[in-house]
Amino acid sequence: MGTLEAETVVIGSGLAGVLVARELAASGQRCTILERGSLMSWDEQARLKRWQEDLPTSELNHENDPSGLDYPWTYVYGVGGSANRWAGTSPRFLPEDFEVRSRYGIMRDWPLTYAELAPFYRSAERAMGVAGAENALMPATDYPVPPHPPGGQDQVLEPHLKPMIPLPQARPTEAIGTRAACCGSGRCQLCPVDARFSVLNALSGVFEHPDVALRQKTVAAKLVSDSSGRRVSAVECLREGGERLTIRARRFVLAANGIESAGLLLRSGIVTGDTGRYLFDHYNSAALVRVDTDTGAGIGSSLATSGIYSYYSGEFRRHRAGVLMLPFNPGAPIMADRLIAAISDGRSGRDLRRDVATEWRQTFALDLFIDDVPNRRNRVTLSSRKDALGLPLNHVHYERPGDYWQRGVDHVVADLPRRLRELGARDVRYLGAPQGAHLLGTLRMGSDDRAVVDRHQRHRRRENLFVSGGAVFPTYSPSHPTLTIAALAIRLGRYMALDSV
Amino acid sequence: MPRLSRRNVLLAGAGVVAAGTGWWGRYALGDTFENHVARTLGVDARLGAELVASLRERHDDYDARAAGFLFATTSPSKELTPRSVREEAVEAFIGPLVGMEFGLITPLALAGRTRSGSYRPCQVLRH
Repeated sequence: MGTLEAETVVIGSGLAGVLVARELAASGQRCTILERGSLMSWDEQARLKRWQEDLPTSELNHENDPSGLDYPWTYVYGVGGSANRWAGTSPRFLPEDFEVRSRYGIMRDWPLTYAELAPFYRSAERAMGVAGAENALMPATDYPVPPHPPGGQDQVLEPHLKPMIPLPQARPTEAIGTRAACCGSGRCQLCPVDARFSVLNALSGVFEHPDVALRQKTVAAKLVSDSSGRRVSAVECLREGGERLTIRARRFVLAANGIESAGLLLRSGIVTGDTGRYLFDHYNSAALVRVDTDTGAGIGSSLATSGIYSYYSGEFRRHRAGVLMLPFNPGAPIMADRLIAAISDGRSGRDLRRDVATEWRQTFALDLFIDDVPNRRNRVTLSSRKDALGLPLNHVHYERPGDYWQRGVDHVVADLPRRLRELGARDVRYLGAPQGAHLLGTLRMGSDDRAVVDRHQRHRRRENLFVSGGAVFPTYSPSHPTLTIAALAIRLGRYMALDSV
Repeated sequence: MPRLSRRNVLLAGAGVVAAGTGWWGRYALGDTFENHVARTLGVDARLGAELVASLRERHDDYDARAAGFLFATTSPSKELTPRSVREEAVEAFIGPLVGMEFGLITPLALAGRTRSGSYRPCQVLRH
């Protein structure tokens, strides 16, 4: 068994870990980043159409509890983490998302405010090259890249669904560094020109910094606490081929995904309060609205170009979920069913095409991102089954979204025809499927006794252990989480750079 | 699905199923399969040919898919085949063309949002 010494160990080379490392390195502090997987370049990802290598250390290590949903949890074990395969949508949370308890008497307030996070949002937007425009919903923005122009659906919907803003997105409208400008491929999770932000295309300089060491194919198996029980003294690692390695350090940052970060604490016996509970993933949802006018689907400079906040804010959040709605520029995905059925029925020719094309052109495709009340039963525990490395699998119990979520969906489906009456709206179809790939909430931030980390993301029972990533979210918001994860990581890195523990 | 030669499949089909009619033989011997796809989808011949070429480039089992589509959409086989089987064959051919994986070309082409059916990574959405 080998032993190493380090100053700070960051567990996970995704966005949440690398931004902490970047801030530490910028202040002259050394850190070692551990990554279970390996480096797969964008070229290789594009060629192989996958995001990570098949390695014993990078096998996904969870199982679903049969009494819950058989949920397709999606995450990447590789250098760059799950930000290798995200789509790039980067809105800030709104100020009210941090204060839902104070404003609406539901869920919990965050232990920090929008105003406190705003400077870090700006830093995150610069780091990620976010395209956006100043807007009335998100105070104090200063986007580094101009916004995408409104797409076809945006222009038709805007008079009916206010407020609508240019969608902040890490799909830049102009080239930045080695990244090309977004080219409107509509396939952002494997961007064909490497425009969409990834750790590899925007933050790879961190790995080359002389004060940063990256150790690939290294699994953090267990955190070891010292005799006082107040500090973590080392992390025990497993490497490819069965090699064991112990790394001693002054500080540790847990920056794996929301399931694995909780799993590592459970494996380490560092269990306090709500550790592992309140797991959440935004359920993929869409509304297809049939109207009798051309919707403008298929026209736009990126996958989505506007955010609709008509159903996001207000007193209604006391009893039903806020919803963020994005017109999906590629249009409705219903054509295949109709086309296949029609051809199978023997139809063909211009009439067939006209029917299918008309339906497609006259259907709005709206992506829905829906909040929910945190559910304590949604949790990560340890399985009795082991992974390929002999570590217990993360056992996940996850239930379908709750009544609060459902009321939010029902309201949107019922209300859209009213708002879009002038366009001849006559049918709204809800489509839902799992796999938001956001993995939030298992090590929540707060000041109460059951919170796992404090407002500085410091573990409440281990003074030199910090958590970065969506795991710390105490509530979820209707917004996509990645930019907030990035802002929190930068804030944490700067805090740690000044922290003497 | 096994790799098959489109030409062999079609020739065999033409020989066994439509022996004497000469009906299928025209697809095997010329390039009119592309025209058949274009006629079925109601697009012009050039667009039909581009869509077929794109599918051929991106699927190793293109031949089997094309043969299935032909079987499900031409006489006399389509009249002799249960609907569920026809639908499966049509889906195997049309499904990839209209899916996200394919880059959205076909829906946009059918809807008249683009005039080219060639696969391309960028400028798929019209600006």
